Amino acid sequence: MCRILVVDDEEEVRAALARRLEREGYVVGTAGSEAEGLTALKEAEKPFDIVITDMNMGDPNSGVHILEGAVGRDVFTEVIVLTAYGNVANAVECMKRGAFDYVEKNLPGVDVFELLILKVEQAVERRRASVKTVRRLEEFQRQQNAAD
Amino acid sequence: MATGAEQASTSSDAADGGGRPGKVRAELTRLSRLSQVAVSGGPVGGLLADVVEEAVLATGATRGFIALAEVETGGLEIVATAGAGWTDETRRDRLARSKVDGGTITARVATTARAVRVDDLSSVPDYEPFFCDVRSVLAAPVARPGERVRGVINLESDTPGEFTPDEEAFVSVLADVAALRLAMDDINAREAALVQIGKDLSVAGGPAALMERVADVSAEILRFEDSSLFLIDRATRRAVLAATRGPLAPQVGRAAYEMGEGLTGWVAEHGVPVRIRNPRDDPRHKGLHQEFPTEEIAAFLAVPIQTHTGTVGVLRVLRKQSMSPWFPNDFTEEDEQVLSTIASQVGAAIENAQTREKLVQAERMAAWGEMSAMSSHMIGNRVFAIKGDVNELEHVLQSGGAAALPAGEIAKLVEGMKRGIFRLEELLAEFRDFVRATALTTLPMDASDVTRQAVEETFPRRCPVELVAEYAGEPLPIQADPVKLKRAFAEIIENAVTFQEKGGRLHVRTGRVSADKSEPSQASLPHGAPYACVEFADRGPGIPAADKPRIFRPFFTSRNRGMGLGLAIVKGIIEAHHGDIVETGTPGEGAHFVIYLPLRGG
Repeated sequence: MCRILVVDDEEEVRAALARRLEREGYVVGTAGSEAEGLTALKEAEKPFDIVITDMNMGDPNSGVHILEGAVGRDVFTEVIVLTAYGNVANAVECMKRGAFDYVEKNLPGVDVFELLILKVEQAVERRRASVKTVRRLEEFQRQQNAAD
Repeated sequence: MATGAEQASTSSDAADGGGRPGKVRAELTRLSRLSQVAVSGGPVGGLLADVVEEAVLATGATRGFIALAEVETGGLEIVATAGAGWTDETRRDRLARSKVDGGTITARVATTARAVRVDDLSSVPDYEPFFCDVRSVLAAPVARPGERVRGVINLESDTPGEFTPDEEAFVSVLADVAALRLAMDDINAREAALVQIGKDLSVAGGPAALMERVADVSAEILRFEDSSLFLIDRATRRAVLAATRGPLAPQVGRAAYEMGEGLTGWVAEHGVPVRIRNPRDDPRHKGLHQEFPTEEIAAFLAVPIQTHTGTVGVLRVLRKQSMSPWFPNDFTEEDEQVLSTIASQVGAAIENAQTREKLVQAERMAAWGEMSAMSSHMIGNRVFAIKGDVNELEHVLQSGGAAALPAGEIAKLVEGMKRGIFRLEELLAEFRDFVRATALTTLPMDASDVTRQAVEETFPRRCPVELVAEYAGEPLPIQADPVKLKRAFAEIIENAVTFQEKGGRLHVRTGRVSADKSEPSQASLPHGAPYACVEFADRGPGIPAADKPRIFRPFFTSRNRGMGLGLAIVKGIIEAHHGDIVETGTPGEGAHFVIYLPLRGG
């Protein structure tokens, strides 16, 4: 079961995202601020698979901080950053630091929820692949050790 | 010591009837005393009464009077009398006569500015004595050298040849003392008026209010029939009538001179004053936009209003033909200086207003960058949420249709969309209010009335907050946009109610303050001007000290609603009214907003 954390300071945005993701069968947790998000990341029993975070929650770099918190907890957690229309610069910064992708909340003419679901599926796939790769690497190392 | 001895000997000389040196000394002593009275600043009427009293005493006249020229008509008005025979009635009759009768000795002195001494009136054929006992007359002009005659001191005797040349000289000196004092009063009045104008201009809002003050105060010192203020419109290169105190009022905003057109246009183009009599004789004269017909204009004075960017307008005053032929109606060089001083103050006030306007604009422009980011964020989030509801609705409809749904599921989604759209509309309204906060349509009104209306319209009927309202007992006339001002007050009232959900109190108070006497507040207002003060004090949590510097900035909010433009809108509205708002509450004890609005008419 894939677990997703949604971090956004707008209650309606959180509710809409959670509802849509739950429809896909994901288990969704929510946090209403940067601080709540960081706490949720730290205190979760098992790390989240995917984190969807707003870029700007009072602080224009909130998304970056959430990204750091998520990757700090589990390097395989994939982070998708949501940005307001026309404010892509910080999101690109997140990409450089290892975010999976960013999604503009208000792309004209696009059903952004469908787009997001697509991105989430891709992120889940990449996470799976990454974990598989690492497992294979670990397996390989174990065999090496055994052979030695 | 010496002075005491001299005074003593003088009075004994006077008592003895005295010889000639004694008499001179007595006169000198009186003169010295009068001069001191003249410069001491006591009431001018008292001095004139003393002067005529002294003149009667020193010359042995039967009676005497001082008549001063009336500025409006050029007639002579008796202001002080001494000696025998005066009653209120004779004063009035004599006054009435001196107004119309240009042939009297008094009028002759006024016209020629030279003293007249007649030893035997029976030798003057057309003389009609007012008092039938008059045999000889001495009259001297009250005038400063080179200036218009201010009045006449007139002495009469029932004895022929009563007045000597020495006495004429003495009375002339007395008249000079009176003239000196009148001139001094004029200068003081001008100085006070100029200072007053300076003060008024720094607080006047808009050219109409400004011109009203200019006209009122300068009319007191610079006698004129009408005055008009023209401002140069750089785009059309025309000097457009901005304000006037006369019959041109309906033409404000319409009457205009091309640059160089007519005398007014000439001043606008060249930035040099024009001071002439009989403007119709000037080739530049066009007679386009005048307060009264050309033939009635005796004198024309127009000075440029200048700022560091050049001539921005023209201040023009006109005088009508005088009723009295001996009373010239020209503007003097001094008049021109006074008007130029006023014009430079008007220029400074215009420049000030422009600078202030620019500053406010710059501040607001700086907010725009933040504004667009912020609004796209806020509006974007709302739209995002609505899109989520639409997405869900689509899904629900596709997967089995409405019939298969749990009851109320669709209604819930529609409700969500509606709520989202309403909040979008709220945001857009807030945005619009912020942008339009400084565009006012003002009317004269009372600060207490508009406050009362805002409270009645905004304060909820059922509410745990107690309302205490104290409106000023005196009128608080302001020039304001009622819709905008009520919008500002409503914001503060709504905040107070929201922050006292569990009950509290809102104290509303209106009153009058003078900016220099007001409590130690952070309000930045021109000093010395009277303000209407509107206060809203609540018992909510108050504004935390750390937030105080930020509460009026755009996008500051402690509520999870709207864009945080509320108090920025309030401040914008108040500043557009040339007022200020400060928050003086104690954190933890409640918020206390104090709003200052300039009172109309100073």
